Amino acid sequence: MIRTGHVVFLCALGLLTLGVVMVGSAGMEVKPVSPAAGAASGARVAGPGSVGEAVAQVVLSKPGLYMALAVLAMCSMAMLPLDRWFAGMRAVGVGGARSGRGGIGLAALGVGTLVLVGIVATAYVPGLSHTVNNSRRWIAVPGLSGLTIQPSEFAKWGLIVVLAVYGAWRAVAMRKFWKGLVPGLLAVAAVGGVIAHQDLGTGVLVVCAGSAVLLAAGARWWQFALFIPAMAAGVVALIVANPYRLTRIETFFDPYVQPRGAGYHMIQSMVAVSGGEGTGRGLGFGLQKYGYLPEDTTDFLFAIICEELGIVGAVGVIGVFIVLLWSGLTIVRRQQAPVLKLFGLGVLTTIGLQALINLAVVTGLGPTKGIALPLVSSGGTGWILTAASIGLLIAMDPEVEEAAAEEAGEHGGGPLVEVEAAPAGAPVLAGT
Amino acid sequence: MMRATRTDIAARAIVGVVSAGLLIMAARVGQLQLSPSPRLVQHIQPRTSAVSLPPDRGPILDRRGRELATSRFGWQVFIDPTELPRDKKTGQIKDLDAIIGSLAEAMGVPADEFGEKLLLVIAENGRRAANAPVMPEDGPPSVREFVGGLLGFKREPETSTVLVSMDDEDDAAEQGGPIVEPYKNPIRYVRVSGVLEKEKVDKVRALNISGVHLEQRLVREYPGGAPVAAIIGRLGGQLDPQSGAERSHNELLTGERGRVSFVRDSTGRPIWMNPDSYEPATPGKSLRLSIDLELQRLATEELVRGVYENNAAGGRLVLMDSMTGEIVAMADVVRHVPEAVPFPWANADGSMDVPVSHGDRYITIFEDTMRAIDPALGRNRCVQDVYEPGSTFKPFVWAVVTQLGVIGLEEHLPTGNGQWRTPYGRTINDVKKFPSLAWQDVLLHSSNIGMTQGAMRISRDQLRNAVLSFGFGSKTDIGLPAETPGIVTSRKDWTQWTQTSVSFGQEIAVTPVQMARAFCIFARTGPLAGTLPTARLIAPEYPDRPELFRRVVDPRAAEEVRRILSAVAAQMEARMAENDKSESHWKYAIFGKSGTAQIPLGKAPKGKRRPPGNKGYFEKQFNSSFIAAGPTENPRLVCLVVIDDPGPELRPRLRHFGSHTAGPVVRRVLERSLTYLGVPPSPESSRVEAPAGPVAE
Repeated sequence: MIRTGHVVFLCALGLLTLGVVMVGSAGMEVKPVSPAAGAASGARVAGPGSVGEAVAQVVLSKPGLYMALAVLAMCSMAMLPLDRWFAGMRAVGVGGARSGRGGIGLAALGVGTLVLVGIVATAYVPGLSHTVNNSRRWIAVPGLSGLTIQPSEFAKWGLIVVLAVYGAWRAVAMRKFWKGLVPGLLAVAAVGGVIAHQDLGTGVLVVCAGSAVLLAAGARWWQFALFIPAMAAGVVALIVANPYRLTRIETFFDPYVQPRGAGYHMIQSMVAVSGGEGTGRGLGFGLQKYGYLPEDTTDFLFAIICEELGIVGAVGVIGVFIVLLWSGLTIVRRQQAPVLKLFGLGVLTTIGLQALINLAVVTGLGPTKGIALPLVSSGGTGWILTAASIGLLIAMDPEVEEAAAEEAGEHGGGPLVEVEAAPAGAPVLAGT
Repeated sequence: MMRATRTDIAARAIVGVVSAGLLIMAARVGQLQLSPSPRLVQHIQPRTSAVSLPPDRGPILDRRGRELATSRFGWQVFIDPTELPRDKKTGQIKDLDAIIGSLAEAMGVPADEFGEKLLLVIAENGRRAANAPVMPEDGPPSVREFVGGLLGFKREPETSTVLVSMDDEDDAAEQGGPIVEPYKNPIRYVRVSGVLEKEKVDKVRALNISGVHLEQRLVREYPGGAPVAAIIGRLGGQLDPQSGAERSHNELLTGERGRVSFVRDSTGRPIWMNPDSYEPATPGKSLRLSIDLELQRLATEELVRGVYENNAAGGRLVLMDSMTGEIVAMADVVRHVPEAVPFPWANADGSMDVPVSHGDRYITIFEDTMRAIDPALGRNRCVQDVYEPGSTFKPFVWAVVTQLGVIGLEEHLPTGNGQWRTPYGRTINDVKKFPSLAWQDVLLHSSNIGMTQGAMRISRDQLRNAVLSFGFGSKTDIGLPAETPGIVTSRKDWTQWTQTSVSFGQEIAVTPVQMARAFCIFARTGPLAGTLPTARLIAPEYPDRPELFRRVVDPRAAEEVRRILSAVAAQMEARMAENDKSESHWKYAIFGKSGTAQIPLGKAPKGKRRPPGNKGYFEKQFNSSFIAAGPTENPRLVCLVVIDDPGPELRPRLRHFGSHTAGPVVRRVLERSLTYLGVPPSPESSRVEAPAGPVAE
């Protein structure tokens, strides 16, 4: 019997597999042979000799390794006995705050926020800081050359955990403006603000996901609404402060003004998507990845998927995300422990919003932002942490036979989509 | 369960909204893929580069398939100075002198010939590198080089080339490679040799110096050499046809360009080729001319001999197959005459700076600067320049008058002992003086007075139409550029005077090719006698103008002319034998006619006019010609030789006439050509005794 958690697992696995394959495809390049070879010198494509070699090349690549780590993290998290740990919470329920444990929530929020802000700030520590494309989002791990970590990724998921704990333990106070909402929002603003300074897109995402958790935890709509202008003002301030962000916004409204300048990235992304022409050019046969589309293995990988795999590939990816979200929703709804429910909701919101923003950017419906497609776009930290979060979501899936039986019919379509989205999944699985 | 419900509602709302958003994204992908906006379509460029492949140019052959013009691949050496081996520490080029030395030895070229150029370029590159902030030490090989290596040729960025070689048209725009800013990027192409022989190419290849490259080029060669240069013409540096058959048959010879395209990355490097992206070039078709290289060679040889023996300024020769109208040889020789001076034209007011002197020899063939550059570029005076045929024109007029039946062959005309006044008061003189002559002897003795009286018996239209029907006054269209139609006086201006002048070949200008073709009328026998072929310079497999026969005169009149001209040729042969006993016996009987005409002055230069009293001619300078066909019993070849301006020292001895100057050349050319063709020697019956008396003109 397939459980909902299994569906989520398979979706995540399919997306990761596709990610490894597509990162491999998008990363292809032409290497020139030494010109000393004589009169008939030229460039040759240094490629694998056979299909087996090609598969081995992909499996043994850096993305292959990251995927193995991600799956390992997902499985480890999925096996945690969350139900048993939080069994007491179910019984305590509403009374949590009254029984004096609200202080725990506030303390957790305070300490957690400080820790997260500290983590994000490591990206500015000289000696650790690793600059890519003029942005300081990474830290280089000392002793391991070439290995970089994106601290904001940790903060992104960490904030969800902190807010879930806060929301669950201060459930009653959440309805109150000063005691519930404001501390939570302050935490969100602090972490989100620091992240937004490095990476506006991720900052906005974190603020949205954090707000969703606070609202789900019981914050009042109208109270929350009071802060929306302030948040918007913050975003506008950040945009105006950095001229390149302003340019990106302008470019979004008309990318064709500077097709070789500011509009280049967006236009090339749309050209790549358009290049699929329905059926796709075929795996490996994309053209935009040969230096035309920047960030083709990371934030704009979906454009390459559309180009090479066509509408089928694009709809497959989107379908898997939708199945993953609805399966996750089922798990969240069945879960009784408030902290787990809130955490699950945070995870789903983060993954869903991140995917949505990424697709909007890639297809030219949103301004160009550095946001990865979860589980697909190349990125070790992102894959491992997202997979770990999904592992926790799977771990929440209660082992209630009737509930599983009830849900089985609802998501019958899951495996079908899986087959479409990850045709090359088998060898990768075998490798891990 | 109040709180649980709230979380569930929020979760459901969020998942629902996000899912809806994702579905919109799916729709957006569909829209972008299936119907992208027109503005986006403008930015969708094919990620391919194309290189056009030059076709092999078709060869030009002679009538027996000998190659007169061919194309071949050759290799030439160029150096990319940025790729030369460098010292790792200093960054300077290592052992440059040794490289230049070994390269010079391998190519068999003195080292300074290219060494200096190379050093200059290296210095210039150093200067550019100092100015440019970033200079890629080892940039990616450009598309041009890659494709060059792949296909065996390379594009040449510099335009200077001395070679006649197949260069690609510049479609750098199609390349899509990185934009090269002037004076910033290093020079990466220094040609250091012309097309080399194979052994030298192998030696250069064996050196294996990085940065020294070989590039393949198509080279046009002319194995036919100088004798056919003016007929074949040549190509320019960019393979543009400049003259001759190369130009007039360019379309046939050119072929179609091929094309190879490949997918490239953003820096222009090729990634792969699609299976259908290679269209090979279609080679041009071969062109077979009617020229016979061997006949051309011997005709040129004899013509040159004739020009030098007669101290002439030039000579022209056309050898034509009388049955087909095909030109088997066509030669044009110009000789520099050191003592010749420019003609003293009068000023606009009629005054003369220098008087016309009867002692001076004037320049009659005007300077041809293009011929000085390359004989293949010079004027082909056999089709581009006219001359007055003089007495060689008489057979045509005689045949017309005869066939119209206005005079019987034996009818005697009063020729007034060499001087006679026309009814309109023009005095006509004869070289040979007779009181009266039978009509057939008028042609034999080349009497101007007799011809004048004959022409008076027919109307002006009759004569003029006949002249036109012989093909004078219209182009022969043999397929050479810049052909002139010649000059025939218009109907309006055709006066009695004209009628008289034309009857002995004056006041008409013809090209040698027109003349040779017209003479085929008499060279054709039996029912074909009196018919005119279409002149051709290409072999019969090109059926562009199939007209082989056009009746112009009655066969009997034509046969009569042939009979009379046999005696004229015999007179010429007798004269030759007098000069040189070894030239007294000939295998082939021929018939022919000589002509000697004063050279017209032509148009006066701007601001100048004819000197007063001059009738428009160089008074003491002549075009002496002889036209003949042989063997008489069944003629195969017509040969016309024009000796332009034979030396003035010949005139006092009356040796400047066509029968003395051009006649022997024609005689020898026909003898040798017919022998070469394997024509059986003439029987005794076709030989004619020379009539007594001096040779007529």
